[in-house]
Amino acid sequence: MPGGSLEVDRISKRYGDLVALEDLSLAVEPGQITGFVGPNGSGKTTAMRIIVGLLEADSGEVRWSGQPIDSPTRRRIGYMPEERGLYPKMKVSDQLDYFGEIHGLDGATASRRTLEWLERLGVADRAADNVEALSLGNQQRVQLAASLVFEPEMLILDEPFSGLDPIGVDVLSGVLTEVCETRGVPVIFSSHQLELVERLCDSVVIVKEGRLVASGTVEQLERDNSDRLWLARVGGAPESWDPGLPGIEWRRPFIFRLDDEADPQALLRAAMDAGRVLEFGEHRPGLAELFRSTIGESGGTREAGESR
Amino acid sequence: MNGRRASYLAARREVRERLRSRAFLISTLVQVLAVAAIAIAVSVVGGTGPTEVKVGAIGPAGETITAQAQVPADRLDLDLLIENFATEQAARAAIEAGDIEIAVGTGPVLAGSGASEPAQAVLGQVAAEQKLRSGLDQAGLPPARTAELLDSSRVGFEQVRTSEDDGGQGIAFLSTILLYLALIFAGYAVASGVVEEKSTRVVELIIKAMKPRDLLAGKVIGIGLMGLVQLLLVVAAGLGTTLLLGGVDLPPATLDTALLALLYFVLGFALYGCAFAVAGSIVSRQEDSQSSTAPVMILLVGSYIIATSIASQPSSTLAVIGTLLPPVAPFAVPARAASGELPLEQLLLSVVLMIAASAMLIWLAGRVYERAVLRTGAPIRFRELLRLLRSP
Repeated sequence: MPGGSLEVDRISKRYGDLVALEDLSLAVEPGQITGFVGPNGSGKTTAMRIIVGLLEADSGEVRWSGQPIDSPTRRRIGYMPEERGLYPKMKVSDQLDYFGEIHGLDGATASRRTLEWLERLGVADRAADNVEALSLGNQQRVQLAASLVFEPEMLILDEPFSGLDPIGVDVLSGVLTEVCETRGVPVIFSSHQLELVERLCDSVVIVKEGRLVASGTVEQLERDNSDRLWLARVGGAPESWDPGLPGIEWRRPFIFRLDDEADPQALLRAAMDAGRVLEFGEHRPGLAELFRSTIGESGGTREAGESR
Repeated sequence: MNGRRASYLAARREVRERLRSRAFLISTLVQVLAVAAIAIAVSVVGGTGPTEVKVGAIGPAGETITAQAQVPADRLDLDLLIENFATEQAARAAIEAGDIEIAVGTGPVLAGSGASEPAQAVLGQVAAEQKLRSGLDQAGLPPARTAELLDSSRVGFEQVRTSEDDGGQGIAFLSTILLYLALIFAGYAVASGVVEEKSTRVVELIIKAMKPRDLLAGKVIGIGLMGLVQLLLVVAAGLGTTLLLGGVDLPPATLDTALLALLYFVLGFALYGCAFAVAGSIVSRQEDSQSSTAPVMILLVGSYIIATSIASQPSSTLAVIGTLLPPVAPFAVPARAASGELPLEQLLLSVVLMIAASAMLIWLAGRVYERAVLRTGAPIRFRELLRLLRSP
């Protein structure tokens, strides 16, 4: 099964009048890291819970390598819930052994893997402590170890980076990349840390209000959305500077959208007339900007902005 | 993973966590010490330990008599402390001085005022027998024949149970309290364990790997097993202390009661443990578990109260009803057995009814648990619970 792919095919979920998911489809290819982004309440957690089988979709299907996903397959998924889930009064190593064993490892293998992962995640010295005695960051590392200890064939992580310090973020990113690249384990994780998603992920899925807004590789999305955006930074000009030319529309300070007829050279000339041109060129939005433009300024981008 | 392996792993986790838990070890120790203390108190205060009687033996005849009096004195819980005197005069002076209570020799039995009456009777009896022996000797009877005659004149003793309490009622109350404590501790542990798994969301990771029923079974079995071990230790501490001190004769039905208490802990826990599991599974936070376990607690406490009155009237109609009523039976049956008032056919019927009720509750608990365990948010109301039960 390693190297399998995950397909989510038009799943919908309602809670009474509230639409949590509507016809959401996405695909995760083997050996790919997929970032799952969207404002809070957009259905990311619901979708992940449906994939791991904690919730049932009202309609739609989740497939693993073409087959409808069943519980033996789900057992092979490493899952990290958003609220986390560990026994607070249990020893770290006992806890990981237990997770290993209930996923089918024998005792000796479970202990060995536990030690390996604790070592790899930098919390080996806390193996004998109760989980509740650990800092939140370290608990999170243990939580990740719990999803990795049984060598899953896929990883689904709900906000794995939230609350981690920069070193924790580096360790976790390293582990995810390694697991994905060396073992071909597909990873899907949700995050509000868009720079991180941009850096780590092969592809991105953006959802809003339970619907898919955009998906694809970051470059693809950038290309699709950077269509005819130009940057013209003029020294000394106010942020609201607008050349006022036909077919050239002010978007953000010094960012302009040119329609098909407009000539970038006209924009450059106007800029040179207005002052000293510091920067000029085609504008490539980052994921953060993409996110804002696809979700719309009203669509709960506040949380997304907060994460950094 | 097959269900049995999953349940085994879940049960083993419960056992290990209890062995690591200071709270569990302390509560076990406290109960063991408390029961041992009760046993010591009963032996010291209520027990009829041997009474020491200082006896003077006058001359060789006195020595013979006092030596022969040891066996019957033992039966009356008398411990004869013998002091030898050469003459009756010396013995009389010792009695007057209060050094000894009674003296025997060839003459009359000398007894100080307030001397132990059973000791006087025993010594008088043995002295008389001794006189008879020497009389028969003098009549020319061979010593062997004399001994034979004297032996045949002795009568045995047999204890006949009276309707008066023989200590069985004390055992009945004790067994009721111990079972109550054991069931409430273990039951509450199940409920709070289920809620802990839900509130920490760890259940979401476990349910991905095993069926809810297997997790539930493992949890109830693991906690029940440790409850049983705890009860076993407590019972052993009580019996052991009593036997070690040797002060009290345990009521005849004590061992039966202990064995039945262990059996009924198992049966009762299948019932109450499952009920507590259901109560835990319908809430998501520890704060809510107080109210959701309340009905089970009320049933448990109510049954216990009924059982205490059964313990004092072990042959009443109420006692028979309690024996056959599964929630009450775990307390009522050992209590009645302690008083020796439990007909075998009622016991057997009770066991059958317990097993039937437990089986039903295990089924019910499995159904509710697997539907409720992944639910979060507000507690599930009764009506919703019924709807959950009917859903496929």
